[in-house]
Amino acid sequence: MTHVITEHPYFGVFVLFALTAVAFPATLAAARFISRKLAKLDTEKLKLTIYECGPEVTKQPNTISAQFYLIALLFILFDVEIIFMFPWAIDFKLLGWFGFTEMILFILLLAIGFVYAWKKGALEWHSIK
Amino acid sequence: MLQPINVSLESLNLITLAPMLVAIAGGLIILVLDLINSKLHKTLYVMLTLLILFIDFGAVLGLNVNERGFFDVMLIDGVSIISQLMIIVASMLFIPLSLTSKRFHEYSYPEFFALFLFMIAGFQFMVTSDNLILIFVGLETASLALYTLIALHNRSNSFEAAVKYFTMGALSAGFYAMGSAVIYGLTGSIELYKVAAVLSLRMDEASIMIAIFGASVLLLTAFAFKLSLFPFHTWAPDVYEGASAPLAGYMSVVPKVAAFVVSIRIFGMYIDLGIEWVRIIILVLAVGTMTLANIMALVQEDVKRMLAYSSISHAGFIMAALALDTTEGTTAIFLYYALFMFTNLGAFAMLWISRHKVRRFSDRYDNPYEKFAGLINIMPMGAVIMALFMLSLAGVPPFSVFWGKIYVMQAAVNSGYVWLAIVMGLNSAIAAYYYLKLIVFMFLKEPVKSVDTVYYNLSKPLMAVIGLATVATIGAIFYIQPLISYIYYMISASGY
Repeated sequence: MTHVITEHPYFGVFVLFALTAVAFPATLAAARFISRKLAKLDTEKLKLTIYECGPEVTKQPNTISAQFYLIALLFILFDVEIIFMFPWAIDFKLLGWFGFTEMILFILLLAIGFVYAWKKGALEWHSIK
Repeated sequence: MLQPINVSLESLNLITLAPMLVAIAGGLIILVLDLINSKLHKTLYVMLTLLILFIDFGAVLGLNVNERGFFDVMLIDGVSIISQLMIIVASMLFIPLSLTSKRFHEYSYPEFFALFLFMIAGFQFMVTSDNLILIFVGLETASLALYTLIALHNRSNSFEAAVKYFTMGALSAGFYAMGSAVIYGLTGSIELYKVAAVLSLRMDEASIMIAIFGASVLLLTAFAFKLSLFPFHTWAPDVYEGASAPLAGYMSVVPKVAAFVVSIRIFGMYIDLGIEWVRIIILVLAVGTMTLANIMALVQEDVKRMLAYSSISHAGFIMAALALDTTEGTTAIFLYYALFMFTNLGAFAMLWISRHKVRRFSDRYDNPYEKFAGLINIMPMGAVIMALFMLSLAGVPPFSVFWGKIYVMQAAVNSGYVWLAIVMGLNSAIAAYYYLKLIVFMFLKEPVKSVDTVYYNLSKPLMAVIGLATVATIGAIFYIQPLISYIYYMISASGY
């Protein structure tokens, strides 16, 4: 059984054209129509608040130090390293010398990253060099 | 009882990994050097990067054609060797451009050079594999490094460019991952040669065709973003404008070479399998890209944006060669980029030497046409060289890009696409307008008074790079034949 439509050589072009010529302007027009005509334009307080997963939004009394983000980033980095090391440790004998060298290389690369972060002062508070 | 896995080093064929390992080790050496002594001058890092690139170049030249290595994930064929050589040569041209006479923010960080080397390793991984996952990893490594390099050029424009490029790149990476997932779901393999074998057995099933359609549309979208093809090209001019001039020139060559290699591998496979509409979509994209980008370039007021649109249009030219799927067509892709690389990097380097810290001519643009008005009176040599690059980009006979264009057209005619060659010719004629517009501004207009010289950034290394690009542009007629036969030999050896 052959599918005449899909095997036609110009089928792909047709779909592409249909997408660009019809779907894209139609989506834009629909979005415009909805936002202009169908939207509720009253400005009540609840509607204008930022959605924050349920709880009411409070204004942050102080700014958050950028240092937190660095620490979080480093934490994720070395966290993932540990995840990779557990299966290796369990199958240590199975993987043999090849696995051992691979893991040493892996740790070495991460260690350079760690020393780099340390030297640049990412682990000290307020002292990024 | 499980036996310990025993992998012999010979079977790994680690030599196939050597070029990337050189680049990664070089990046790490630069980082460690900075940790040991943070007061080293940027010249040292530039020279170190150049040295590492030379070693990398040698490592690539030492590879044998048609080898596999590292659990058959790495594939060294002619295409991968040529593209790696081109990536490294373009990088060698790019790196000395950081030795400007004025101090720029990004080059004071050794991280710039380390990230640059990691990026090259990423591109090399991308072109030396037919494993969809390794291609993805290479693509992401290179792209993430590139976003950072753009943002390091410390201007609000650059942050905008980096965020735009990141958003678009993340979207295209998502498309790529979904397309690969569909291919894996269809064939149970991520190695393209196994995928081709499975697909060729099941080509008569209608359901397979629909799934292939889905996969190839996703992959085409992903690569159209990366190659900045119409209608996914809109990010390119803004990103080029925000990036520093040499980086913009670099971005118009190296990531595209890498993306073209992967496109050749994937879409070449589809066309070989006889899926004709993939070829037609590529042709439509190619013709649309070269025509619309040309028309957009006509109305630009900024030279950098004009060059960005022109490089999009050139990418369209090359995409048309991809649709031919002949050895000649694939040769044309690499030949075109090998020639375009020197000219385009030279043209962007000319913008780089005239870079001002503040916008003196226009509130909106860094390099409006007025900036180059009467350049022949201010710096005659610079005006002549810029004019040479423009004539070459326009495809005027003795200069380099002309040979690329004529080769692409010849490949198109030989595969029976006469209309494609005619469209290409017409587009070259349209393109001549905006290249000549710059020449008119440089040679025939009076300089804008009350503005001082445009020699701003010039230094000996920059002059050397521009001189090299000029020689490569003018002297194309002398090396074109050996270049074609080398590329043709490499490509036919890898079976494309």
